Amino acid sequence: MEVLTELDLSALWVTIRLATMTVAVLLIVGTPLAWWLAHTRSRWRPIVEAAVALPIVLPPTVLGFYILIALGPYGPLGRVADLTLAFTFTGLVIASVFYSMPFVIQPLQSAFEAVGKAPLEAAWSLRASPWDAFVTVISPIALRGYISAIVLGFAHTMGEFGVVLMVGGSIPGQTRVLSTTIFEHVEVGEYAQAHVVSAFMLIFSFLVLLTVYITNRRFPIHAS
Amino acid sequence: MSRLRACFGVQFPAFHLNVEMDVPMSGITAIFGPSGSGKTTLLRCLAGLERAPQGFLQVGDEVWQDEKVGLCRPLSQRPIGYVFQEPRLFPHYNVRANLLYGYKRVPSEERRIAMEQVGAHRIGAVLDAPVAAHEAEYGLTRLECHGQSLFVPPQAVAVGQVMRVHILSSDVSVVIGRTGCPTSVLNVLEATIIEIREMDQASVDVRLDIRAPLVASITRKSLITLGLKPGQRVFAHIKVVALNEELKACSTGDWAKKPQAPRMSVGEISSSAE
Repeated sequence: MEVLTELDLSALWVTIRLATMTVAVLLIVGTPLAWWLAHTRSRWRPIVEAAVALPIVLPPTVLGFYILIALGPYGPLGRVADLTLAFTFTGLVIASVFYSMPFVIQPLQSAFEAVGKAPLEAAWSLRASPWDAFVTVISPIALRGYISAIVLGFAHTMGEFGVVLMVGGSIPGQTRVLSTTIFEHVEVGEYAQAHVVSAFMLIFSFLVLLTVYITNRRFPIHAS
Repeated sequence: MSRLRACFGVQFPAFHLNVEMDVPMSGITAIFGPSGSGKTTLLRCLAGLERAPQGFLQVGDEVWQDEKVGLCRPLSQRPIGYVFQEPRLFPHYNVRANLLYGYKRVPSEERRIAMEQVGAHRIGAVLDAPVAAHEAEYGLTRLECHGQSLFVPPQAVAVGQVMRVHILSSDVSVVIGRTGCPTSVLNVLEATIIEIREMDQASVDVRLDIRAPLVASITRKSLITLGLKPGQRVFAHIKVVALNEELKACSTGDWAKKPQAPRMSVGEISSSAE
């Protein structure tokens, strides 16, 4: 018997692609949002913070249900553009972005809060444009926050199950990820295969968290 | 005659500021007032760090802020210098990269100083001083320096161990009386002026004798104000000393087991944060 079947390998590949794209989207969307949350004096802040944290407490099926409706043929996209993203890889990425959002936004937000506005103002006064100041001053000082955000966002996306099943179904090669593969294996009584994939996920998750804690210990707050 | 005209109204929860000013662009304008009266807020508005909702700012012929038309030039496009109230070094850069940060972003034709001029004037003295005592009460280590005392942050070395002390001329200043001016500088040493050497337009080097050579770098203006001459008895204020790591490392005894103290010792306790 092969250690990982072809189906398992394609699920692994889908999982890695999904997690990478989700983290990439979240870093692009999350950086300005986390920055705004860290520094705004707006009274909307607690509302936005609560909305961002919602996926932590919400059952994934609830989140998945609403996203499924929104991406389906009767959702806003389906009606206006005749675009149905439910049960597609793109739809899965959109759902994962919402699902993993707090795990990327929150580390970034606390990193930006710790950096404060002082270095930014100093950079502006030395003629650095806002973008220049962000790249050369803020992001290196907030490096640890970025590492945490990337690793946690990636790992959390790899571990999602409920949302994937609701929005993506489990179409091999397209929307079947490792966590749903385990479910399928168990359902048809392939316990040996379920063991292999589960053990892989277990070891992977442990290594990821180990990396986070080691980097947080080793990495100076300000990498030079 | 070009002038700076500004009008700001800022509302904070516990504070509001209304300012209208019209001052000449030439010379030096001082702003004074009791603490909390809004001096910093005004400067932040002028710099563009704070955006007054109904602000107006004209510098010479250029309008930098006019909220009636929604104009506010960002700080990075205002050719000004802003000295913050606390140090704002970039912690992820070394000293050189910190200095270069602004330098690189100013167009070369606007630069008034070359990078080579920075830190070119680095001369100083090297002294070997044995540890005289560990003053636990003050949390300091006292070094014996040719009959005088030099206090440094606690060192993990045994009494009698010789430490190599580096003192840059830019970290030494000269005063005439010991009690004349109150100071937070910890190390005040008696010294005799040996020689005064003119360095450039602005600064002079004063070679001092503390039964060992020491150099102080002072401005020409203080030289004239103080009327310093060779042979004169003065006091040297030593603001920063650096201790040699290698000599410390070859020490033995109980003190060597204690954690290493910071390499850069700052005589002025108030500024010893690293």
